[in-house]
Amino acid sequence: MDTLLQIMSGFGVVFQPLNFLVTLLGFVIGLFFAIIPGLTATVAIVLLMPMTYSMTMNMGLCMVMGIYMAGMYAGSVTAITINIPGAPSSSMTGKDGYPLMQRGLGAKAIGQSAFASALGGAVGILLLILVSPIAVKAALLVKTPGKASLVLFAFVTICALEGKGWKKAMLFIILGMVFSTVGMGLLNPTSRFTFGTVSLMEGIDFISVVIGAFAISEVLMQSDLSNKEYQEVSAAVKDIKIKRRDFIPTKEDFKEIGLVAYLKSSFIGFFIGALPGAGGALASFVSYAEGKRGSKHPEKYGNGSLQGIACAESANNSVCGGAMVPMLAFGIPGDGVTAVVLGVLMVYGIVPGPDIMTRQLSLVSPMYAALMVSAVLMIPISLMLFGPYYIKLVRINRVVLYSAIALIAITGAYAATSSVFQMVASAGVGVIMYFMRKEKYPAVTLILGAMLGPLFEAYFRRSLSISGNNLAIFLQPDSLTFLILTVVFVLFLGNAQKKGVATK
Amino acid sequence: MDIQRFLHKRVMIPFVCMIFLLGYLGVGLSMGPLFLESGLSNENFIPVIIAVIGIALCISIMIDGLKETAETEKSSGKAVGLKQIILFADFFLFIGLYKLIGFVGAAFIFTFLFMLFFDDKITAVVKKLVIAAVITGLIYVLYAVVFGVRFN
Repeated sequence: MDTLLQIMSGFGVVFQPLNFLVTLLGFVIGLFFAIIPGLTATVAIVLLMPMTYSMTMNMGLCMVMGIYMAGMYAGSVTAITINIPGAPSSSMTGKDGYPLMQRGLGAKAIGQSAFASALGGAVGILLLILVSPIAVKAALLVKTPGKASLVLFAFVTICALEGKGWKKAMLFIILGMVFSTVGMGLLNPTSRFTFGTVSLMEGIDFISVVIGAFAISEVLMQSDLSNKEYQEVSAAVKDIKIKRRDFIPTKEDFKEIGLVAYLKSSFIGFFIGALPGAGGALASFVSYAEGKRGSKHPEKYGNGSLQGIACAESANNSVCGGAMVPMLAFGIPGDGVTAVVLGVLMVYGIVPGPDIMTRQLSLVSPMYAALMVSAVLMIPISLMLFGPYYIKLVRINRVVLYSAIALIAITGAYAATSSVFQMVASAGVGVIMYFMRKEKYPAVTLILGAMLGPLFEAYFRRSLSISGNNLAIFLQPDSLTFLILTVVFVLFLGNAQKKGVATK
Repeated sequence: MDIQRFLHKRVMIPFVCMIFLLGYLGVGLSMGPLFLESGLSNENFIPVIIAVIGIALCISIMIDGLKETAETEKSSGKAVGLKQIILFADFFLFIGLYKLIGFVGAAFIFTFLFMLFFDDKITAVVKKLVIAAVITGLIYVLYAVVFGVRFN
């Protein structure tokens, strides 16, 4: 009952005029970033992160959640209309959405995508609320060695998900950890890798790494594209006309898709979201594959199946709820966006752990509520109000857009830290990341390495300290469970990739 | 021996990382023993371990890169051109100018140069000057006025 009251209080917070307004603002920003190819919700949150510092905690979290939900949903608009996913999580949506668009049924596809996203998002939050007590009990059972093994599990899972690129992913985790070791020692008050420089004593701030890795490198990546290439994309948008009334799904559409497909996909999305590093792209892929396997008309998949769109979109929006579980219970982010969200939480002094999901639930319940409001209210309303104009955003002047983003990014690094050194670090990380992303090094793993590296070090060294440097401490039940899970996941994902299921 | 294979990005990136990690390992080892007299792990314990794993990975990625470049000479992305190098420099120019002339001047010059070189051709210079001024003004208002960030 107490839990329910705390969650209800979250809705009370979100519906306060100012908080509702920033949730809406976040949602609109998320839409904007997700619709423009190349930009993602992660970039939006990264750019806004320094700005949230001067907001109240509830406002900051509401805005971030609005961006998150919109980011997961809105990438489908360009995926359907011009076959270019605005976000990686919408890749599968385009497979069926674009053929529908070519047949003049684009609005129907966008409407179905919005409905499935809203439903998937809502189911994800409900599951989050239901699963929280179990996650709390599990979190309480995990002691220090278990936490070290859990972080190791996260690292290994993330690398395994990269398939053939696992070595690059692991190297990036290590480089992220290397960044995090600069500054003061973790357990002893001695400086590390500072070379006697005062600037390095403060260490490389997490936000500098995030801004460099996601925002600055993205702007540089976009500079590779010529205006001519971009104009080919925007030219495709010119003749597209969408009517509002066509967005509304019909009874026949629902019958064709079936409630089971929506719910099954939402469950798949939630549980994949709870896996460290998995994210919306994998969730939509697995759910799409499962939808096709169980469909009465698998031949329609890839040729304009509404069920295919529903499966992909329900799953990737349900990820939002799933990714919150490991983030809040253990401090292990479920994907790139939650890694950044975790950074926002830490700015406000919220320490993840069992308490946050029980006694301190009121601190994060506005987050749950903001996600729910974004899914259930904002997705359908925004579609009906602005749906016909979404696609026009692709035609925005990209030179002006990316120049503004570049300035916001580098200014953000200063605004968050008040340090010129952190601006240098951010620009440096951005340039390095630009080169490495071109060679398919995954940016998210660098961030997770930088974020989880210090946790791993602290847990691992404390465990050694407790046990007198006896590694057998990691064979305690909680730790052993995660070590076994690590092996199981490596084997499972390896097999899945061989079958062509778990590809990126 | 085909020297070009060794200069390929797929080989050079892990090579540079390896050099960096070797330096990191050297500094880590110079910090003292991995375990203190009390038996507790020292602050260089994890850095040394991750550096060793990282170096092994770099070598492995370099070998993979050499094999791949033998199979195909195609690079996975566009080459880095003068445009990108100027944009890199623009970020560092902004930081240098920020210390010298403050946010507004630095941001204006940064944004103008960014627009000028992000574009395919150097055109519409006056228009870009105006837009750079507008962007600088908007972002200054956003950070300094709305969010209360103090620039210098």
